[in-house]
Amino acid sequence: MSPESIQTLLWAMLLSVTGLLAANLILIVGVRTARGIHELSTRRVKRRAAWPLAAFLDGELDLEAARARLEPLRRAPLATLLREHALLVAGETRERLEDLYHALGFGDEDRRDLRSRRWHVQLRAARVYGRFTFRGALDPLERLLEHERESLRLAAARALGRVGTPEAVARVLTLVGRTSAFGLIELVSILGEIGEPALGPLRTVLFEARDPRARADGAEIAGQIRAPALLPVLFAYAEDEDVEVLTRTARALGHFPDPGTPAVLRRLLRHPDWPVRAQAAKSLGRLADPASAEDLARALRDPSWWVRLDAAVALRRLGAVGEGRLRRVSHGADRYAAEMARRVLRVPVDRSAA
Amino acid sequence: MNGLVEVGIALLVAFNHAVFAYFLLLHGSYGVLLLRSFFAVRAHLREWSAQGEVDARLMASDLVLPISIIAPAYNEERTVVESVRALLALEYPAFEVILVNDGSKDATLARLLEAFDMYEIFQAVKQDLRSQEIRGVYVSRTHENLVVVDKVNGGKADALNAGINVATSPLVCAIDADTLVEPDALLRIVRPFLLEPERVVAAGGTIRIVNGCRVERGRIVGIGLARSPVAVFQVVEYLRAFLFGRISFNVLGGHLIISGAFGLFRKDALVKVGGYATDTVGEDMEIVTRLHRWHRERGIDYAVEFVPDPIGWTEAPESLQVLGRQRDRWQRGLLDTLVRHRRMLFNPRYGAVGMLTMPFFTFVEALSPLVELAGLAVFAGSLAVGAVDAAFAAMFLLVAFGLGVLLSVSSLLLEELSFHRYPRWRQVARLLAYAALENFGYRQLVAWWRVRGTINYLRGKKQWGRMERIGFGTARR
Repeated sequence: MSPESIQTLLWAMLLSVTGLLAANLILIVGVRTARGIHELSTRRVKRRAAWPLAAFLDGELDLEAARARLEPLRRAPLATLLREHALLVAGETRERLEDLYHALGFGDEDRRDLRSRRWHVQLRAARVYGRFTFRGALDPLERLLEHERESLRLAAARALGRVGTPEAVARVLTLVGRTSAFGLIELVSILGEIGEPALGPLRTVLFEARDPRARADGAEIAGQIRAPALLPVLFAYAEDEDVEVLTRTARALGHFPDPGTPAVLRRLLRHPDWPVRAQAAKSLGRLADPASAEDLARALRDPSWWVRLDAAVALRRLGAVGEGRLRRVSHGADRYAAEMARRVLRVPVDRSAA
Repeated sequence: MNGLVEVGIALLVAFNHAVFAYFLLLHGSYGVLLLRSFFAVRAHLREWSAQGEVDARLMASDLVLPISIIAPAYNEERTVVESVRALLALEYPAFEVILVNDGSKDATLARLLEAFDMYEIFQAVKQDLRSQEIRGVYVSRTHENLVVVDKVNGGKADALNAGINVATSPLVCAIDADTLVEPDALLRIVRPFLLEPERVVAAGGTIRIVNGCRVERGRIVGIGLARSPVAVFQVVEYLRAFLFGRISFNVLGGHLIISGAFGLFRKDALVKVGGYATDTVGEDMEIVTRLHRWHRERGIDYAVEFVPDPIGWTEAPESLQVLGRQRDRWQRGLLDTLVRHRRMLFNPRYGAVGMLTMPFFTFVEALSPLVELAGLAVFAGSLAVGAVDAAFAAMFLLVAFGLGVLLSVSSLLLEELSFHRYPRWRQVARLLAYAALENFGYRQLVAWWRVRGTINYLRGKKQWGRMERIGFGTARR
């Protein structure tokens, strides 16, 4: 490279650096200023909307009057305010709020946004319908259930869950077995919000699930929802051949204090795979069933460290019966069982004895 | 004689050309990384815009994976109780805190035993990983989920290995005892493990500087900047390192460092690779590199993630002497990891790590201080003997410093667009000023410490160097 060309390059770089630096500084100042203006305007909108909104929700103002008072306010902060408000109200008040939201035309904008080509616009709109019931044909939400981004699929599912019709619930249930662990937590929460209307279709879906992944997730869902109507599904899953399904079923059964549950768990405590045994021990502890003390004490001699730990913790949760067993084992001949029992009993070390 | 002078001048010019080429490569790569970060941060923020509601649902669920927090402590009597209180106050549905007292010579253990009403219990520890002898395991009468492990001193890595052995959760969170983790940080850092439980083996969060912030009962209640210029320079450095360095490598799939101050790992993955290496001072980088290597060599699909919004606040050294020792150690740790895993360099078998990250860390991170200082010295020499024109030299220096400032200012812009943690105009103005000032002396000093670290590494020095802790008790200026 000749000195002249280096010089030219340096000049170009210097100019670019200066320009970029200036742009960065302008952007920093601009972003901060815009944020400040936005905060001010939000505060102003909040202040001006406070009375008409409260009056409308209390029934002192009718829809038309509230709309007339709110319409002149800036739309973006007003929409945000109404969406935030949706988290604070329930029942009839929420329905009134939804009416107002739609009357102000925000619902139409969100519906349009659901069809946007930009995923984050769709996501924002779908999240709105997790708070306000979607009105109209469900197809834009149904399409989002197939989106490559899980966040969008879940947001659409929540929106469909709010709609709550059998058709919408059926669509939500298509996600069973198709989510990550994170999505599963969200799905449980969505089904929990739907409540009773979801139980029948969910039971059918879980009974008919062919894919082991769907059954495993189904077991988790049943364990989280804890509706007795789902217990027969778990009893059926307890006969499954898939270790993952069995492990999760064992976990779920720990949430069902039904007379039939401990026997199933005690059977799973003898399963050849240790994750199933460990989970069964944990669930027996959760159920605190004294009749299982004998089986749990036997599990203290399990070759797996995790099974021994979970069995010991479970025994401790049984109260006096379990602790008595643990104490006996802690002085027993089996070194590993004794160590685990002492660990879980939190036996103090007596240094003076040594 | 004249001929010799001419050859010397020609060599100087050639060296200057090489430095210039390196300089272009360096800043070109920084530019690409920066651009990637902007898009990655934007996508991340859009995806998680409703994080508050998600956090609430995670808190209410018992499907989240339990976490064992492991905090090694060595001579931390001044801060340890407050640090443990902060850890116990974290928002997460299922976690235990394992504080490993690594043979402290001060009253670290006594303070803990007293503050949390602890007593020693019998516990046979499962020896998944080798560590120095455990002298005792203590549990608390007031906090069921607190365990203190007292062991013979073996260094931070050894303490972490001992903690992993005691941990009973599938995920372990390695944390420095002097790091204040934001209350919702665990809920956020666990996300990758919930999104891809089979793949993700490790995830790191962002580290920021606590100096100057107001801390009450182990929580940050007011974000500020320290009076000490040394601390503020580090704020700018950390913003640059975390907001664009780690995010962009994460996008490329070759994230190589999870800060020792705050990282979450799958316990089984750590055990499989043999735990933390005890014979290095860069155990945090080494373990991540080993995780990459182990999985790549076996053809196992995996991921190491960086999540920008869980934040740990750490204390930065305010004296040049302590900072110098820290940077010296970081450089030795970096070189040690690069040398141990040199076969990964430019090896396509290791994917993005071998082809992008390792070369970047070798030729940019490890070499840049050497090139920078040598370049400056030769440049000054060239100027003195007239091998370089003064106007050209001035322009080159201007461009070099301008690019340095641009990089830091862009990180500040990124911070402003994304997390916006410094609310006052004055704070941003100070950060901008320091972003410019760091190029005049501070940067060269850091380069020198790193060169010294390189020399010490070549001489086989493996000490950590002493750190001085002030404590979080009050607002620190």
